[in-house]
Amino acid sequence: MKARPPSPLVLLCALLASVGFVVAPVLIFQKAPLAPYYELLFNQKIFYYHVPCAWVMFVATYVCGIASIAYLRTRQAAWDDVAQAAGDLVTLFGALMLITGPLWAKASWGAYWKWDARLTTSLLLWLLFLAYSLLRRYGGPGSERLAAGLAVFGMADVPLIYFAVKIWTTQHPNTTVVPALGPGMRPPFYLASITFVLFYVVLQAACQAVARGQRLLHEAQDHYAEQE
Amino acid sequence: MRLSPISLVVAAAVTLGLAGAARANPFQKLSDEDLAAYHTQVGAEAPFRAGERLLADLEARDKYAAASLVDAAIVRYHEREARRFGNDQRAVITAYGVIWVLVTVFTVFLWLRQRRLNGELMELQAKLARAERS
Repeated sequence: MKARPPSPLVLLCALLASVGFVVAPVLIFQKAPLAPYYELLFNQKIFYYHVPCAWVMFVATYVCGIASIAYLRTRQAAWDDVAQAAGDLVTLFGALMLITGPLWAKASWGAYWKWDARLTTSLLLWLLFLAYSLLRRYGGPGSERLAAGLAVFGMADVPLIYFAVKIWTTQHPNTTVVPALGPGMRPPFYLASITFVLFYVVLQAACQAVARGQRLLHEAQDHYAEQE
Repeated sequence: MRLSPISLVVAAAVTLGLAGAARANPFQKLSDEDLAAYHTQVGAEAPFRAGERLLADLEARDKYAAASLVDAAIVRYHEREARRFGNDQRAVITAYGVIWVLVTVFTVFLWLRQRRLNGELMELQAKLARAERS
């Protein structure tokens, strides 16, 4: 079993993400204007990292869900590695979104949490993938199929989160916020979003390599034990 | 003569009460009808318009008092904004800090998992080598 070196694409993503993480805060804090609403102003700076974290969480959810469907259909372990890596990243980016969101809410709304539809469905998705990660770690043999089912179910929650602000009356801002951003706010926001997506690609590759290594090692250990 | 804490509190309350009584609030003399003119009406600009009316009326009566009111309002405004900006700044720094701390912790865990994996791999290779030798 040989460890695969990172592909040039992953290395390029890592390089670009590093540049993005240096340039984005400069644009966010030096160039981007303050939001022209009294309840926002300076605290709106959280938006530039909070929203990309949510978007990356959605991307990871779909990657995990689609890879899980592919695994359930083909039973190829490589798909399971992809799903496991993406599942861990849903938990990570979900945690980032669920921590930065309430910090922003406290500054803007005066309360850390409101049980509105957007927040509640987001929390549900995160809890679902926390369960997914725990199942993968401690579920034992066969748990990967159960976890794959959970991931497919989690994928169905994403449209619900996105449209929650349209279906129900919520305190959370609507989906029209991003298209209506002022010209000065767009470059830092899109740069931060691209940076987070590139960073996700790097983490996905790293987690996938660990998942693959772990699987191959366990297979080799089982094979060795059988031969003994 | 030693004064007990309770008698000190009573004395302070009486003194403050007398001081308050000495400077009566002139707005207390106004009737509800008089004050109704300064109450907020419907519309987004209503509070501002009501304040403008109050200031204009005070200016017509006493320019010095009106200027003092404006000065006091400016100081209050700056105090409130400084407090608010401080809170916002704390929230923004905490949010960005939490992101970096969690990402670092996750990366360290990933690295540790990779290291443990390498250790297990080397152990297995050693076992295989021993098995081949024997």
